[in-house]
Amino acid sequence: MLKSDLLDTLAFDYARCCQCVRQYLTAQGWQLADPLELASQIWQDLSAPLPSESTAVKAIQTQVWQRYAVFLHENCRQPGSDRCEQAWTELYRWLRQQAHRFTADRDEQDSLVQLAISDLQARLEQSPLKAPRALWAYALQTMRAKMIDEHRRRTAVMRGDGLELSLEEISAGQSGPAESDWEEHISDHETSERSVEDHVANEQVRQQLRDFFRTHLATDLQLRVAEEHFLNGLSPQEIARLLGKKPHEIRMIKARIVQTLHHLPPEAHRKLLDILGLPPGEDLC
Amino acid sequence: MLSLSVNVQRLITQLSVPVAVTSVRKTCVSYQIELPAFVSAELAGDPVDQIYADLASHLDVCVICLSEYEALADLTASALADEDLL
Repeated sequence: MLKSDLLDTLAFDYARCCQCVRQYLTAQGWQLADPLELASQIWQDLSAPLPSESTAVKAIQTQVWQRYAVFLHENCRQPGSDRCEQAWTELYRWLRQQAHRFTADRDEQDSLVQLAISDLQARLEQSPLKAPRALWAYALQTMRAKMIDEHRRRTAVMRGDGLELSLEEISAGQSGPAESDWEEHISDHETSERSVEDHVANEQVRQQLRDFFRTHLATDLQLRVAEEHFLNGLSPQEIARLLGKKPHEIRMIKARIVQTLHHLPPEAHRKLLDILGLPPGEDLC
Repeated sequence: MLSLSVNVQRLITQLSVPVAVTSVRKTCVSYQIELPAFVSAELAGDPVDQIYADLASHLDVCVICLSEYEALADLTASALADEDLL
């Protein structure tokens, strides 16, 4: 089916695309790009099948923020031009719009945005971002870092796991076990990967892993994610689509699963080694 | 079957890495610099587990970077893909 045919059946046409683009730009307060021009580019490039109206809208919005980030990034890096000033003003306003996510105090919000913008100006003056479409996330990360700095400046200490840790210590980073261990472990395991591959391609092992997950994972959702990821080979994004969740929510669950498996009691740990087909005595951690 | 093997092999590698609990390692700093690109690519639907394989794997074993990731992914998704913007 042609893209146009498919979209026709959804009553999703170019006019609707323009409407989506305009609506999203307005909601974000982005005014520098021509909505029609942007919509036209997006419409031409939409190639994936769009099974529903909501999927189509999401796909268009994803295109808008990516393209607008590239556009704004480019304009922010042309000092002296009117566009540059407008671009920074727009970025400032957008960050101001987001500042409530960091603090409820309006004065603090203003100060946070100012600090973040100064930082971003210095950063973009130095060099362009490797991935300009990440401008929004980069700006948010910068503002978050400023908030943490500010919090550190005020409190100097934070609590964690019942221990009082100085932030200087934390940021200085006591690396614990040698960092190089990671690389060494990875290469140590490379030679056994082939045998592992052969081993896991076996229904019996799949069943053993499934049973192991059932015994050791805390929730049904963890179990489902473990099965989909480790047994069925789905990525967090694919699982998120399957379960109607956001990709980062699934990635968090997956990370908790790995952490759970990391901290298994010795007996369970040995059992996992056996299931994974690792030679006896080859310890994981 | 191959993808099953890949994910299980990655699990074995991850389990071989000591979990960072209270400190930021040097490598963490470089991973955290990559987070905006990672989060943006993930939100855009790109296959980040392949494009940023090292970082994706690191997030499973480093609670500090995972926490940074969670905060940034939440912020970015709320700011760019919130239902209210639809």
